[in-house]
Amino acid sequence: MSAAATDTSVSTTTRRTVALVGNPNVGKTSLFNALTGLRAKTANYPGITVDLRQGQLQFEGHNDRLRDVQLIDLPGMYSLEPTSPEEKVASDRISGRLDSRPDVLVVVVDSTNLARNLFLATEVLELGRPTVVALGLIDAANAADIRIEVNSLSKQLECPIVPLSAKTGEGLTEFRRAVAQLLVNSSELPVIREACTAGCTGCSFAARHDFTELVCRSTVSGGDSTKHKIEGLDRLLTAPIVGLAALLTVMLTVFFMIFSLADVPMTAIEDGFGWIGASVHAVLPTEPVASAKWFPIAFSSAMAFFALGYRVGEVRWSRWSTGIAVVAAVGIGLLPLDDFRSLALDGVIGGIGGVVVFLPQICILFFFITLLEDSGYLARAAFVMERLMRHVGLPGKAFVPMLSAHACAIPGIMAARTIENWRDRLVTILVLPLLTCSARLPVYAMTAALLFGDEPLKATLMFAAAYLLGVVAAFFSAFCLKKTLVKGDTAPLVIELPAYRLPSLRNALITTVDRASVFLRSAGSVILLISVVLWALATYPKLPENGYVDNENVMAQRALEYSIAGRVGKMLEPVFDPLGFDWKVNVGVLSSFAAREVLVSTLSIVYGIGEEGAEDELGLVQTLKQQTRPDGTPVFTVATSLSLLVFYVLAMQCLPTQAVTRRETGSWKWAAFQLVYMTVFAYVAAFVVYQLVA
Amino acid sequence: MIESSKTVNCLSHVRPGDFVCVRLDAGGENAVRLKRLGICESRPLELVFAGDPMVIRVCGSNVGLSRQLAELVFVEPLSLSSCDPEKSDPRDRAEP
Repeated sequence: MSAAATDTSVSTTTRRTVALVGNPNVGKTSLFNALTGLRAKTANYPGITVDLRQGQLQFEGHNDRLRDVQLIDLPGMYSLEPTSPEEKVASDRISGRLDSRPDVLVVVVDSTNLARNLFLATEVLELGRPTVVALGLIDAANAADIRIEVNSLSKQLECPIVPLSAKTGEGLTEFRRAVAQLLVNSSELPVIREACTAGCTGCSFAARHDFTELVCRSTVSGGDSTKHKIEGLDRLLTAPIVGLAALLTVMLTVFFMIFSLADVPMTAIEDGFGWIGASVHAVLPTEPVASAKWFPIAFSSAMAFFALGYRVGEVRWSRWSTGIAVVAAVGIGLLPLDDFRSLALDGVIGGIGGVVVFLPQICILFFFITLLEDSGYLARAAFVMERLMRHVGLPGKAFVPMLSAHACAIPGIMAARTIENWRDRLVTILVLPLLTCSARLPVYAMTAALLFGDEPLKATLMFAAAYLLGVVAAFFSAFCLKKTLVKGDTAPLVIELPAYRLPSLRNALITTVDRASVFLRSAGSVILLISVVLWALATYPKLPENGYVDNENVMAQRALEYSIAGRVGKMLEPVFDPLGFDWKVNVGVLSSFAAREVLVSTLSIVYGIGEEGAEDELGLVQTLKQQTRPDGTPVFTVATSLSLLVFYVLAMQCLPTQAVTRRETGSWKWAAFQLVYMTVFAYVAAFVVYQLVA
Repeated sequence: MIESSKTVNCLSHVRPGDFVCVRLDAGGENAVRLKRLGICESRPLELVFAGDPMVIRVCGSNVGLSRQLAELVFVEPLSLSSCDPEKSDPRDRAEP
């Protein structure tokens, strides 16, 4: 009876939902995009790491019941019985365990492969809910000369069937009409369809497959000419050596594209934020303003900023969040003008710039990964890599995330969603940040210059060794995690190798924008907060008045030394001394907690050549080489440089990554674990290196 | 139609060809993953390329399968008068 009660409550509310259900790779998302256009957004459910996209489904005419209809794109699934977190969410959303039950279910099936797709369709139909079956990719079926008798199929499945193509737009009007009919006439009574496994003893899966095969045989004809063509190509792409070579070629091309294409927007973003900083600097008054005048301006701009931040991060204005915003805004309003300027420029604008600068790489990587996934190639890539990855205890599907992480760990972690098994996915996410991302390169370059200033061959070897260290460390950590914390064998490979298809640029773009916004939302607010905190640590307490000197660089150096960051760096000397770091390096390590590339600019401040000094690599390296300890020995010996390098290869120093880890694993627990184990790992390895070399 | 003397073997030990699954020893999640794709008792399957992982064809699509799982799938050869599995009933179960 409780089910009937929920049904009434759903029908009294005006909002109605239609859910798209289907196997992976059946063009469900294309259909979703074709029906909702660019108005879709990602729905968030607390505690769930899976994105459910939803958007308004519009109908002709003015029926009240059709006014506010939400279309939800559920993750692909092979059966209602889930074996991955995504399938669990899809299954829970269908059954109403998560949110209300959808009013209409749409099963999207691949017209070119009904035999595979009808399995899920019959399962869904037997739920007894208003259901439409959409024969997607009908254009591809027509092209392959596959003929489907729609009326007969509709009769056998006892539900409306609409052939359609998201690509050509064919059938979309009929589809809307069929859905509208179910929404308008939906009865609260369940739709009675006899289970196709009724009366069968033995394996219900086999009985369902037998039934779908029978249905297919009586309704589908033609179209077996393409099979052999695909198999020839697959024989090559899944072969041990040729397949591996093909995969490496494809992925290296993608990498080349990332590094060549991302450069321009990244520079533009850096310049843009530089320009914004300069404009804010110019707008802010230089002379002290009466606080009666200044406070309202500073307070309201801070509040406006919080409002924007909350909106982007989708934070609700609760008592707590409002309180925090007001208190912080009052604090900001009371700041002296110089501090306000520094907060706005270095803390806020610098903090946002540090996040946004990752975007081009993330977007480009996602764009290409989506194209490869839609084309059907990624399934082959996972297949080929399974042979190699299995030896290190990771599934073949972990390969693409691991390769992506060599550009940036964030898209790598997001791409780990394709790994169905939760334990495998978790281990992959936890070890991904060990792989050398592009943000480590400035640090590597600095170390290479310190160690092998004019020997490019040795510097190259050092770079290669650093990359290799990251890979070996990732595999080693994965192995250890599998043996200890995240016990369990890697789920053995069962993967559908879908038919090759021409990917849609539009879909790839929409997915890219979607992922980018997910990244900004989940990482943006946290990073902004932490960069403001780090700014405060490096700024307060301020130098006493009598400490002022003329030289700006010396001033910056002294101010940093006097600040909490400088003091903590000194306090940590005994901790980092066995690694060969002095307190100045410690300040650099602390400041690069949020983003590792900051090390170079912090070192140049702390060594008194100013922030601009970081841009002159030779100057910085010369300065670093001249540094001595109190006993007169140089700071940056071979041992210190190597230990610093090893530390930076292995340490977790990237807040955006942590925020994304939290999002994808659903808890800060794993992000914290990642931080702790990587830092300990980095410390121990750097310790060993320093003690061995020194 | 089907030969009376048949040899049951696990899928990791046979050469490419048409088979029918006679037994599945997998349990838990692995059983669900295999069965819903069509690798279950009395269902036909074709080994396309042997190896680890191997490629099999079930329910009209190619599926990559690791040897670890293939060792749990027991098959017997499908010998039919017609070599086109699409047109003949591969099962020896009587339809009611």
